[in-house]
Amino acid sequence: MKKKHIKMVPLKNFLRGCFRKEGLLILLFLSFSANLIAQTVQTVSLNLKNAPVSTVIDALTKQTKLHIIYNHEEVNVLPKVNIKGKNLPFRKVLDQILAGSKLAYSIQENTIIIGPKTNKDEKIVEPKKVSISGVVTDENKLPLGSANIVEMGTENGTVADEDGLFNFSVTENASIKVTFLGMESQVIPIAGRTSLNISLKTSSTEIGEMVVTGIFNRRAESFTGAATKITRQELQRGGVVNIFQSLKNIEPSLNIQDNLAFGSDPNKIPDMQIRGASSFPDLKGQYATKPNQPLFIVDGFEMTIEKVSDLDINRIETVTILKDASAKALYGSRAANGVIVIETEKVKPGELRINYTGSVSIESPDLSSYNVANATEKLNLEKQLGAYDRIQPIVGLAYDSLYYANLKEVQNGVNTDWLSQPVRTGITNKQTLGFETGDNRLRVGANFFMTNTQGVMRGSDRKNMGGSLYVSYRYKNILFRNQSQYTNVNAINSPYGDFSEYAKLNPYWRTTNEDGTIRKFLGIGPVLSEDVYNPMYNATLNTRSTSKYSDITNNTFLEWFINENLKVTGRLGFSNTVNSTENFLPANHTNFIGFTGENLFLKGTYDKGDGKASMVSSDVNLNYSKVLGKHVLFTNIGLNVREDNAESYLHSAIGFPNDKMDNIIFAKQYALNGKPSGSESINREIGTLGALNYSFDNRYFADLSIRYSASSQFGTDKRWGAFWSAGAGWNIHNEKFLQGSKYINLLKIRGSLGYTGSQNFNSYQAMLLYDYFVDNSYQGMLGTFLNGLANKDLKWQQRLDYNVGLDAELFDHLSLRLDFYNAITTNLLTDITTPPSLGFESYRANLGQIRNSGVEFRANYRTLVNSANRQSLNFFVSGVANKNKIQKISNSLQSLTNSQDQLSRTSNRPLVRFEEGQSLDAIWAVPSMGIDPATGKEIFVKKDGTLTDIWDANDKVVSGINQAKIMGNMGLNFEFKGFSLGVIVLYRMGGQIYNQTLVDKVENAQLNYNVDSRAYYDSWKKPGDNVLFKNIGVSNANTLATSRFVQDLSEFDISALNLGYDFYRHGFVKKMKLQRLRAMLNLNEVKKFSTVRIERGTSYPFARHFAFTLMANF
Amino acid sequence: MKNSLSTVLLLLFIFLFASSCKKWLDVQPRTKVKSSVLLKSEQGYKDALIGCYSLMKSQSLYGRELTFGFVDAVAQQYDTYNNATYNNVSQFKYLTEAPVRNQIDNIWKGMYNTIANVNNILDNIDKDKALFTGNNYELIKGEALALRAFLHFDLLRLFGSTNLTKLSIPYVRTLSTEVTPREAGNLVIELILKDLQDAAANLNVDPIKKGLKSSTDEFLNNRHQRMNYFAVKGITARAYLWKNDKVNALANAMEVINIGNQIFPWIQTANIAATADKDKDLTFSTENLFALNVFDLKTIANTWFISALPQNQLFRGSYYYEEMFETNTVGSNDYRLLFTSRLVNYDYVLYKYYQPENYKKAYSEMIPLIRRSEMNYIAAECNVGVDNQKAIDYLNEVRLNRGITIPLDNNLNEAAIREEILKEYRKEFQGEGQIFAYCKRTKQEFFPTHYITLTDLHLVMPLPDNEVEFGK
Repeated sequence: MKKKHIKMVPLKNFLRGCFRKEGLLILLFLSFSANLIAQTVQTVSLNLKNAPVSTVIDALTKQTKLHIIYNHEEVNVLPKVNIKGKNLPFRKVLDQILAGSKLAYSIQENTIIIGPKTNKDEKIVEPKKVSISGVVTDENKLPLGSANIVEMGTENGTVADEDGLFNFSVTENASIKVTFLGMESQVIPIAGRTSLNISLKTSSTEIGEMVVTGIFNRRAESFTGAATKITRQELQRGGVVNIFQSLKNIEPSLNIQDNLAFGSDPNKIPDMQIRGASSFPDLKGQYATKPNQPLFIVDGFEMTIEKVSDLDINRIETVTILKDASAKALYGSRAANGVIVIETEKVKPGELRINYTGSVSIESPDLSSYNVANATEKLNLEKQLGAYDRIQPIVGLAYDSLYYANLKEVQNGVNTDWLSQPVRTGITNKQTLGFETGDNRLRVGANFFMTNTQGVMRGSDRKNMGGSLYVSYRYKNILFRNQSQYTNVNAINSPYGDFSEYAKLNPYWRTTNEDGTIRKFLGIGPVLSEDVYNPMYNATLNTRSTSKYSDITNNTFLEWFINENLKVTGRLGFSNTVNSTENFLPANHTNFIGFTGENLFLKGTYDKGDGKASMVSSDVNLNYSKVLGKHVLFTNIGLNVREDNAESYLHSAIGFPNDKMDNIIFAKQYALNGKPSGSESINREIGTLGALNYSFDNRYFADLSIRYSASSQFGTDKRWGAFWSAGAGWNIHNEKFLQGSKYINLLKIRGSLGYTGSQNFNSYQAMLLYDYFVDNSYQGMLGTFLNGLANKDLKWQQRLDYNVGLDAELFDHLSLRLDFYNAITTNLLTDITTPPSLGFESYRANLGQIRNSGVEFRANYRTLVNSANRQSLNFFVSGVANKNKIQKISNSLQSLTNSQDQLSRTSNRPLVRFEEGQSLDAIWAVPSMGIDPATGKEIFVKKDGTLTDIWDANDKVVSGINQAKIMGNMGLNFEFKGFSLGVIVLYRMGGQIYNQTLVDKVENAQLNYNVDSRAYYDSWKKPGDNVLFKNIGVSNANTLATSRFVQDLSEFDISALNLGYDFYRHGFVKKMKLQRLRAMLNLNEVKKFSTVRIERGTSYPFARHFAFTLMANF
Repeated sequence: MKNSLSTVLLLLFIFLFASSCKKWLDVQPRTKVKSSVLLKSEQGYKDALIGCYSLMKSQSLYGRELTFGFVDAVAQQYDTYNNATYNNVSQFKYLTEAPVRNQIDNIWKGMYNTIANVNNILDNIDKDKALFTGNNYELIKGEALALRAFLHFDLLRLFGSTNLTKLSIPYVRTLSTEVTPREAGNLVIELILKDLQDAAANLNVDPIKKGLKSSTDEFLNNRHQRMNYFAVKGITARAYLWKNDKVNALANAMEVINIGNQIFPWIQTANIAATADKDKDLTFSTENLFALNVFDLKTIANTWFISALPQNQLFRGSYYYEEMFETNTVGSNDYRLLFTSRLVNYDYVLYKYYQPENYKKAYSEMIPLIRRSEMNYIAAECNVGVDNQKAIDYLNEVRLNRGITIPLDNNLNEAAIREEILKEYRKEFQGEGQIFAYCKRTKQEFFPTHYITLTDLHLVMPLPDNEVEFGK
C-alpha cells in the first residue's frame, strides 16, 4: 500500500495564480479594513463564562473579521476565562486572555498572530530572515509532493519535493500558508521554530459554502434563490433503495405522489412535481413526457427520469432542488417545473483507495389496506342478496347445486387467501465498488455497480449493472475532466399479471387441483354464470414481459483559468440509449380462451419494440469575478446547444401455439390488419446566458440573469424566448447592530422573480407537415396529405415565479427557512378548437393560465452537540402548503370538459374538469344526502337545492380537493460515539380523496367476484336500514361520481427509520487498513395511519423495505 | 486589453453562431415531410395534388356519402327499413340521431380538409412557377382552383339554402388559422364562378382539349379522371344553373355538347350489352367528364350493393324501380335498367359499381362525378320556354343512347318537359348523388315517390356544432 505520490513538475505558476486569486480576494478585502483597524478601535461584545480561550478567539474572529492565527494546543492549556461586556476593545480582550501566560500576540497587516512571547520587545525592528525546513503530509502521514508553501503577505514561497520536504527562508515571526489541491490549507505561525511537521486534512470540498447549480456554482452567502441541498448522508437516512424514495422522505416541496395503482412496482417511475402542477393534465397525449416533471441535471447534463431512477444512490454526493426563478434561471428555457441537480462523487487525490458499499434489503408486501371478505362472509352475502334464487324451478336447480357446491367447499375449510398468492418477500442487493487514485495533477477513478431488485410481486425484477470511469487531469491552468458511464437495465414484469385480478377472486375457490398442480378453471361466478380462470395459471406458462435499455454517457469538462479573474469552462456531453420491449403471451394463456374455429391458429401474441435515443449537448461559459474592496462581482456569460434524437418501432405478431416457441420468428403471421408502427422526434435548442451576482460587504447582494433561447419545437416566427430573473437579498446578521448578537447567528432575507420555460412537448407541433398515403393510390400514384395546421406564432410556455424567503440561525441551535411563493404559468400550450372549415379541428396555441401559490418551511433544532464524542441531536420539521388555481382556459379545454361531463354519466369515478377559478385537483361530484333508509336509493342535491334520486351531470360541484392543505415531514437524528438513529415521519393534513375502493369493491361490487367486507356489513338490505351503501344487489347499477365517497384525508406515515454505526473508535478498523467502516439499517414504510380506508396498490402492492448497508473505505 | 479583445472575439463568435443557427433549428422530421420541403419541386406539387383526389375518394366523401350513400338516401333512392346506416338518414333525423349527425359532420370536415390541402398548393404555387416543366404549372393550378370551386359548390348544395341571400358556408381561400366567415349564397356562387373561370383559363392548355385523354406521362394520363377543362365547363354550367343564370349555364353546357361526340362519345351498345361482365362499361366511362378513381371500389361495392350483408345492402323495391324506368311504356330496354341494375328477389340493386374479376382496365374503379348527359339536361332545362323543340331534342338524344327507341312527343308543354327532365335525372344518376341537388334546386315539393313536403329542414344540412360555436 505504501506508495509515494508521483513527482510532478512544480505547478508554481498555476498555484501561485490560484493563491493570488484567493489571496487577492482576502487581501483586497482586508487591506481596506486594515486601515479601519489602525484608525478606529474595533470593539466586541462578549458574554462568556468559563470558556476555553479558543472559544473566545473564535468569537473575536467572528465579530471583528480579523484573521487570528494560533495554535490550539498552546492556547487550550490556558485557564478558562470569564468575559462579559459590551463594546470591549479587542486588544483589551486579547490582553486579558493572554495575561500571565507565555503567549503574546502581534498584529501584522490584518492578521493577529498569537504565539510564544519572544525575548525581544515589540518594537519595530528590521525583519530578520530565518531558514526553515519541514515536511508536508496528509492525515495518514503520506508525503504530499508539490504542496505549495508561501509566506503570508508576500510572494515568497516554495514547493515541496516528492517526499513532501521543503526548505526556504522567511521573515522571522512570519506565518506560512501551506496549500495542496483537495486539502484544507493551513496557516502556521513560525514562532521561532525552524523545523515543522505539517499535516493537511482532506478538504470536505467547497460544496458546503456553495450552491450547486450544475452550470456554475454560486456562493451560498450571497445567493438570492430558493434551493434545498441534500447531502448523501441525508439521502441515506431517507432510504437506500432508490433516490426518489429517499427524496420523498426528505423534501416535501418535491411532491412525489403515491401511485395508488402501481404501488411499489420497481419498474414504474413515480409522478412528481415541484411547487404544484404548472400544466394541464395530459388527457390527449400532447406531451412527450409527463407535463409537470422537473428537469434532472446530473453532473451538468440533463438526464431522463428513468436513468435518474436507476442511478446508484451510493454514488450521489449531493442533490440540490432549485425552486424559484433566481435558482432555476440558468436552465431558464427548460426549468419551469423546477430543477433537480445531482452531483455524483468526484475522485479525490490520494493513494489507491477502495470504496465498497453493499446493501441488502428485504421487501415485504404491505396488504394492510385490503379488507376483503372471507369465504363464509362472501357466500353468505351471495345467498342473502339472492344470487342463487331463481323463480323458475328448472333454472333454479342449477343455481342451487352451484350454491351447495360452494357451500361444501366452505365447509371443507377452503378459504383461499388470494392476496398472498402472487406476492413474495423480495430480496434486493446493491453493490458498489470503487477504486480511486491520483494526485493534484492526474486523478483516476473507476466504479462498478450492480443492483438486483426483486419486487414484491413474484417474478417482477429490475436488474441494473454498469460501470463508470473518471479521469481528471490538470495541466498548468487547464483542468480536464472526463466521466464515462455505462448502464444496463433489465426490467422484468411479473408473469402473475395484475394484482387486482387476485384481489377479486372468491375465497371459496381453490388454487390447486388435488394433485397439487395449479388449477386453470376456478369456477362459475354466481350471478352471470361466467367462467372464471385462474390468473396464476398464466404464471406457469412461459410468458414474457420485459423491457431493457443500455446507455452510454460520456461527459467532458474543460476549465481554463485565464487569469485570477477570468475562467472559461466548456462541457460536452453525449449519451446514447438503446431500449427494447418484449411481450409474449402463448396460445394457452387465459386471454385466448374465447378463440375458436379459424381463430384457433391466431392464439398467442408477441409484441416487440425497439428504440433508441441520443442526446448531444454542449456549453461554453465565461466566468469573470472581481473583488474591489467591499464589492464582490461575479458574472457569467455562456452559450449552449443541444440536440435530442429519438425513434422507436413496434412489431406485433400473432399465432404462437406453444409456449416453448418464445421467439417472434415462430409467429404464424403479423397481427390482423397490423403494420409496424413507431415514432420519431428531433429537438434542437440553442441558447445564450448572462448572469450577474453582486454583493456589497456581504450585506447586500443581488442576482440578475437573462437567458435567450431558441427551440425547434416552436413556430418559425416565435422560436426565441427570453427568460430573465432578478433577485436581491440582505444578510442582516452582517450588519453592525447584529454583530455579536448571541441570539441571531444568521439572518438573511431574499426575494426573486423571473421567468422560466418548459419544453416537454411533442417535437413537431408547430410545423406544417405532409404524410404520404401508403395504402391509398390515385390512378396508381401516391399522394400526400396535410397533418394539421401549423402555428408560426407558437411560442414558449412560461412560468413567472415570485419568491420571498428567509433564512435564519438562532441561539446557535435553531435554523429556520421560510419561503413564500406565487407562480403563474402563462401562455400555456393547449389545443385551440377551430371551426372545422379551417380544414382541421384544432391546432396548438398559447392560451391558458394556472397559478400555484404556497408556503414552504423548515425548522431544524440541533442540541447536545459535543464534537469530541461525535454527539448531536437534531429535530426537524418541514412542510409545504400549495394552492392551485386555473385562471384561464382555452375553448378546447372547455369542450374537453363538456365531453368529460358526457363520459361521467357512465363512469364510476369523478373525472377531471377544467373550470376557471377552480383547482386542477378539484373532485367534481354530485352532492349527496346519503342513502334513503326507506327506499335504499341515494338522495342527491340539485343545483337549485331541491332533492332528487336522479343523478345529473349538471349538478356536479367541487366536493373536495385532491391535494393536501399542508404536507411535510418531521423527525429526529441522534448521533453518539458513532451510533446514529434517525426517524422520519411524513404527515399530510387537509384535502380529500375519492374512495374508489368503496365504489368498486363495495357498492358496485360484482357478486361474481370477491368484495370488500364492508359490503357484507354496511349495505342497505331492507327498509329501515340506516347505512352507508346502496343495496348492492344482483343488478349492478353503476355508482356515479357522488360526494358520498369524497372523504377527508389526513395521514401520518412513519416512513423511514434508520440505525447506523461508524466503527471509527475500534482499533481493528485501522489494523485492517480501513479508513472508514460504517454499517446502517434502514426501515421504510414502517406504518401508516390514515383517516381513509382505501385499497392502496391495486395493480401492484406497496412494499415495506428493510435494508442493511455496509460501507467500507480501504 | 487582452480581456476586451477576447470579449470582442466571443461576441463575434456568438453573432456568427446565431446567424447560422436559424437553419439548424429548422428540424426536418424523418417520417413526415415539411410542407416547405415537399413544395420545393414539381413532383412535390404533383404528390400534393394527387393527395387531394385521394382525400376526395374517402367513403365519408365521394367514395360513398356524397354519391350513392348519404345524399341518395336522403333523396329516397332506397328502401332503407332494414338498413342500419341509412334508415335514419332517409327519415331526415339529422339532429336527433348522433350517427347521422356524425355522417354530416364528417362530410363537412372531410370537404374542408380537402380544401385545406388544395389551398396549400394554391398558396405556394405562384412563387414557385419556375419549378415547373411543360404546362404542369397551369394544369396543377387549374385543377386545384377547379377542385376548390367544386368542393365548395357541393358544400353549398348540401349546407346552403336555395335562397341565396341567406348565410351559407365559408369560402376558404387560404390555409391559415384565421377563421373565414360564412357568406351569403350569392357571394359564394360568385367566388365559385371566379375560381372556375380562373381554372378554365389555366386549363386552356389541357391536352384533353385536343382529345388526348391518355398519355405516356403518368401524371397526364386519364384526364377524364381528373379535373380537366371540360369538367370545369360542366361544373360551371351546373353552378350558373344554381344561380338561375340560364344564359351562361347554356353557354357553358354547349361548349361541352359541341365537342361531345369527338371527346366524350356516347356509350356503344356493344360495350354495355357485352356478354361477359368484365367487358361491360357499367359507368359509361367514355361519357365521363370527370370520374373519381376509387382503387378499392370493389370492396365498397361489395359492402353496400352486390354481396352486402342484409343490414347494409342498398336496394329499391321492384315496383318503384320499374315504375321509375317506365317499363310499361318506353323503358323496358333501357340500358340503365337492364345492365346497371339487377333484380335480386323482389328488389333492384345498383350494379353500376360492380367490379367483376379481371374487369377491363378502362372501365374499372370509377365513380362518375359529372357526365356529358347532364349537359344535355342542362341545355334542355335552359331551353324550356325558350325553344321547347330544342329541349326535347336534347332529351331525345340521351334517350336514344340509352336504348329508349321511342322519342318524346314534340308537342310536350313546358311542365311535361320539366317532368321528363326529372325522370331522366332519376334514371341517369342512380348512385351518383345528383337527384338530391336537382330536387332541391328546382324546389320539388317531394322527393320522387315520397310523401313528406320538403323544406329547408330537410334540404339544408345542419352545420357542425364547432362551426357554429367557433366560426364567424
